[in-house]
Amino acid sequence: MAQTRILVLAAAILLVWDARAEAYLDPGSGSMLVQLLLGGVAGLAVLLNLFWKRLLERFGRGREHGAGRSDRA
Amino acid sequence: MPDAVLEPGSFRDRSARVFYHHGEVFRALSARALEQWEALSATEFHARFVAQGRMIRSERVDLDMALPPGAVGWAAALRHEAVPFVSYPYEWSFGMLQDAALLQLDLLIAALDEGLTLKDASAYNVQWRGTVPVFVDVASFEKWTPGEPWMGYRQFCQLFLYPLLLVAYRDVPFHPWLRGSLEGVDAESCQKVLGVRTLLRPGVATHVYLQSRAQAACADTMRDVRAELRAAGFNTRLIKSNARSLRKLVAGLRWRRRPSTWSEYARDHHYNDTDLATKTNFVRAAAASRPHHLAWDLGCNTGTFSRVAANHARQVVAIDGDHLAVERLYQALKAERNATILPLVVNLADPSPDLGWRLLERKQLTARGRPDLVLCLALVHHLVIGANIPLSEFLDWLAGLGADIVIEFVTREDPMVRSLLRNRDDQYADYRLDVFERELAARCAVVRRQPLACETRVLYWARPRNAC
Repeated sequence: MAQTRILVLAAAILLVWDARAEAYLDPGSGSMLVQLLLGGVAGLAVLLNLFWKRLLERFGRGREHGAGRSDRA
Repeated sequence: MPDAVLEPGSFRDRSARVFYHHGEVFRALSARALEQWEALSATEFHARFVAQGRMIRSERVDLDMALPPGAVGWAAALRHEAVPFVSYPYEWSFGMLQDAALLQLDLLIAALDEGLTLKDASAYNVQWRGTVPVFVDVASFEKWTPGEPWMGYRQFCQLFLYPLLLVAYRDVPFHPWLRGSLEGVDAESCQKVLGVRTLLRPGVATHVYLQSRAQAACADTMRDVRAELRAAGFNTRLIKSNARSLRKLVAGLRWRRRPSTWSEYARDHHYNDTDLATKTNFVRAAAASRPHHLAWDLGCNTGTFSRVAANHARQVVAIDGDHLAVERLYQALKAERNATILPLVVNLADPSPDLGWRLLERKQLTARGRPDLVLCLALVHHLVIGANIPLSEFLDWLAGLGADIVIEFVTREDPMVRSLLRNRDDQYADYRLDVFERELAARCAVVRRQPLACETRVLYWARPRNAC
């Protein structure tokens, strides 16, 4: 259980450090992501899934999944 | 219906709007909100919470009958049972905010079990019947969309959790903060006030530090996090797990109460039994003289006389500026399951103002219901000497309420007044019994006058001339 928590915490920190220097302030996004950590064990699978999708996206394969960056400007 | 009026504070949720007609409360619903209401009203938990008095009773009414003029685009209207007196989180005690938070979480968990969720988590959606919290915004419920996180989590933290943590962990009162910001306490500010010393206390590392960090890191993100979570398979188990853990955290919070001046007043103050009996009988006679709709007990302290008034009034609002005194009164009334007395933290020298958008969103006390009986016992010296309010101005305000007044004047010879005057320049030439009686008589007909045996206190039952 302790290991799970550490893993979740580490993954969450990696996720939330994904900052971008854009103009819009959106504190709600951070609160949504934190819910993965607070969802206990149930959040772990979702968190890893999200993390995996972001990794794929980073290597140019995720955009076809349709959940990447929005077109807001 | 020409005299239906919109509630100016009900504008944030574009799918529903509160309005009033003939003293009754209605809510107009958009087509989408109507669909959500139909889903809510079919649930088991809705019926259960309404039956328990923890959710406001609502019924659908004929749309054409109810809508205010110019209101277009609404699909339906509900009529709500009215709460006796509207109050705001910055007027509640610690225990009241805690119980309101628990109600919010209980509703979220129950809603998720039946496929619904709460789209926000505003503390302003909770009102009170005495000491029973009542959830009033039925339009906050909607069908849960698969993959959707709890959109009200951040708001719950800002308006419930962080204010409670400030009191529980740092003994910092939340009232000035919530009054100064209708959005509540933000994560970053809460983190700064709590400091590193509380980092290991329950809830701080996750709900405060991590959330603050996550908000800062994601503030500039161009990602559609909502869509990402949906795609990653966010589900209700996560929300329920978070809500249950929050419930445990909130329920476990305790305010380490330091004795305050007035919370110890009844215990330390030596009213003799004769004077206490005289005072109680005097208040009872005024309260019982006719049925009262709304009584205010200003400077209620332990609520002794609020309870006397409650036997002859449909609702009593017990007001005191001392948070700890109100908290103790709330806990005592809650243990008695009292549904008549609403205790509130209000400093009369600095009372709740009109606030929010156009200063119409949250209202000052008098705009929320005029009392027809006001108790003002052992209070005048605190306002005149303690808060430098001119006696005549206070009596102007009091008489302007148009209610029967039961007021006590404590003379300069009384130990409490002597204590107040100690170490002050005595600039209170108006604080004399003869001046008080003259000023009172200029505004009110004195129905009854009763000196107490201690010889330093006099009671008056007065009726403002404009109300006679």
